[in-house]
Amino acid sequence: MLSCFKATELMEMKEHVPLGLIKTMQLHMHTVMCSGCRNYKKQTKLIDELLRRNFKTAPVVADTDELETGIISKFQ
Amino acid sequence: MIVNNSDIISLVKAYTKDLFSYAITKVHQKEIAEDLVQDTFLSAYQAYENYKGKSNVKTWLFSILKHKIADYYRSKYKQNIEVGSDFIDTFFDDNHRWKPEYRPKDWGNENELLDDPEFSQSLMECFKKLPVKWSSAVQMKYLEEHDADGICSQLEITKSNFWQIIHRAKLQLRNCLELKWFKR
Repeated sequence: MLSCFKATELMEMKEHVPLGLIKTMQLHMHTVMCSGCRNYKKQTKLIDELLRRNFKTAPVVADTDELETGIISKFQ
Repeated sequence: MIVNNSDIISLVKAYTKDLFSYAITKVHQKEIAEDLVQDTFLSAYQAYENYKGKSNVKTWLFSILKHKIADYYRSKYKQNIEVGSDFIDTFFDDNHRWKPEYRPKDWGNENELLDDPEFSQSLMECFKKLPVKWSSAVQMKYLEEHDADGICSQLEITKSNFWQIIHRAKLQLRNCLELKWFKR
């Protein structure tokens, strides 16, 4: 039986490498029985999606005139 | 080494905006993007003699900037902070099961939360509280959209180290959100 720590770690690992049959089944069994990890699973997906959205929208490009003047002054 | 300052100044005038626009999408913080662009021109100034027309000038400046961005993430990542086992002990008991007070609760409708700007803002506030080493790994994962291999080689870590860090960061973020948003 997997621990909750290990189960949540496997959920993350799964994003990066194939888990293999045994680990996949262990994770499935654990998640079926553990409500905490079931909630975690939904929440980690939500967090993934929100972070992806947040980092995708680049901050508004500010006026770069001041930066330009600042850099030029270093060369004068 | 004789460098004509007016040469470099004309480059600054021509490319500051492009370089900055690129840098801001990669680091997401205005001050840091500005520093990186400035450093790019300082390096370009020093290397100008060697460069002199070997490639397209814009390509050359961008390649310097990309190196600066990679260096920035690497140095940020290297600023210490071990992934301590005591951190695990905060959330899990001796058998590595959730401690009752940290066991994830039902958050209700995830789709509603997904489109709630205030919830998203809470998440970013939680993100800012992460240890620097973790936040740089997380940021790279979602920013760059490149694979784990690329991130690991840039940060000079192993793959297993990478998802362990993401895992711990997620635990922290999740808990921070639950405290902020659902107030125990």
